[in-house]
Amino acid sequence: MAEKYDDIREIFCKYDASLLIDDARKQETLEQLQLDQKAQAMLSPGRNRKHLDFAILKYQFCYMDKTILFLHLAVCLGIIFLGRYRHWDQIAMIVSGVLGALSLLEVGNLFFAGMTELGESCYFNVRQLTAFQMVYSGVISLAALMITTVSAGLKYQLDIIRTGLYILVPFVFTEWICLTVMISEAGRRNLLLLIAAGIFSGGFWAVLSSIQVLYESSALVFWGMALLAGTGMLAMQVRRFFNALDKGEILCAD
Amino acid sequence: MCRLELTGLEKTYGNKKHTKRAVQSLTAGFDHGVYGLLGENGAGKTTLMRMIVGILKPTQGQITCDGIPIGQLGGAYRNLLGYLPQEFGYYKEFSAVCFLNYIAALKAIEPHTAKERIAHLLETVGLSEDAGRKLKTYSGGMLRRIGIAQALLNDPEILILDEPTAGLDPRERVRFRNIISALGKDRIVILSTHIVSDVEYIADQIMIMKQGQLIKSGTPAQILEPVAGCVWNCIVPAQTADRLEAAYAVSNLRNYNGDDRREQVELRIVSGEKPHPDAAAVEPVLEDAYLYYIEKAIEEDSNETVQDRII
Repeated sequence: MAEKYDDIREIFCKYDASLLIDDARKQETLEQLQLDQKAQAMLSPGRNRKHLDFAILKYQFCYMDKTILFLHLAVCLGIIFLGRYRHWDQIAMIVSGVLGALSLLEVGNLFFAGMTELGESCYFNVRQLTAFQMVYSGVISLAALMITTVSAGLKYQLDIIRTGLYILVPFVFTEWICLTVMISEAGRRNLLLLIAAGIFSGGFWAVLSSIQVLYESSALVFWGMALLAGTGMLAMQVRRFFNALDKGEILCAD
Repeated sequence: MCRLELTGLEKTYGNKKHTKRAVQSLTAGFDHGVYGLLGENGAGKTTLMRMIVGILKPTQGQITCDGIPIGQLGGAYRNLLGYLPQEFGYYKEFSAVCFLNYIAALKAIEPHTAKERIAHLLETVGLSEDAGRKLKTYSGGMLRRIGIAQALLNDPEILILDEPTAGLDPRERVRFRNIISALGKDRIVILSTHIVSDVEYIADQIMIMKQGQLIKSGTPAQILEPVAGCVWNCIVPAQTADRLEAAYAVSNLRNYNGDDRREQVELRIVSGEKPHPDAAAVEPVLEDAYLYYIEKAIEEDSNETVQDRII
């Protein structure tokens, strides 16, 4: 057996001799390996990272403040009920504006409670928590809007793609407005400002939804452009928000 | 056990026109033990602690844990941390148990372990009987105790406590000091305060900060050594006391009323020179030493001597 290994060693030595090894990169790799080992050892012995992340998300749902989540779910249920209304495509804009604001209210709750400084020192930090909240609240809102649109579309022969546009545009713009408020110091400290931004957005889309020209086929280009612009603006604002979280100053209580 | 190293740490706030240097060229190392960070309000203690926790990113310099920058360690480093901020928020409708469960979830502690730890910690901080009450009904001292309990939830190797005794009554402060002293045996405990007596008996190392700089650090004995022979006690008439108070750092002042020493004032003065012919040298305590180093730093900054101030 030992002889067999000696043969293998010889073969490796023979072929390694013809290889050029970059010492700097070798050292870099060794350091990275040490770092990974150290991080894993510090994390928790015997625990799988993916399993840990899933467990954290599960515990979050169990123990987090669910006041706004329940309000959000109640509004979503109400909206699904509203899908029975014949002119759903017209009220969908106002409704999606309201849901856009509610989605961000969940993220804002962490800031309004002043939990961010403490939260950032925890294993599951504010950046991860915010991303988690943004994803699940966005998914809940969009799912409710989609279910309603599809059911209304099937019932009243509405153009689902077109109604989808009427929903997504107000949704992304409201999210953008609310996130802009959240980035400002005053917006992070005052829940009323975020609610006011949501109401303003709802009002704005209510006015827009009363303009009949916007429902004509020729206006589809406007809606498409607006969706692209809104998505781009929202993506930039999300990035700005996470950059601010990274710097840390917006997390501090004073 | 781990070792924390701060190297050339700096933090500046503001823009190019108005810059505030909250922490300047700070280098320090922490092994296990209790480290008392002393300094007046605005000295940079909180900023330093926030950088150690990883909330704020240093403008310059780096913080390493066992030689690895804390930014690279990420969650693994936060797993070692327990942090009590100066002001911490909470969901007002949560009970103490709910709040601790929530923090345990953020700290990735499994529920059955969390349940045991929460019961133990509530007992330790004396809040077992109020565990089911909503946090909005808690007094300031009770909230501080809950803050201390949450910091200890993950049995941290590095415990950072910013003004932990603020709002605690004298009995709670003594109790808290004893808890901290016990914790410092096998972990790094860094606590900031401007109340010298909080760290006098329990800190293994004292660090004094002023205007973002570490002006003195060492064991209590090392801190006190240079101050020996620089603390004076004297009883003088009120008028003389006013003059001495303006010229020297006075660590204690007592007005005598209603006895034969009426209109007399007893002063405890920290000074390198004898401040009054009747002054007698006394043993320094940490409060005197703190004043000594702060005054020394002020003098060095302004090049102002005691003689200048007397004139």
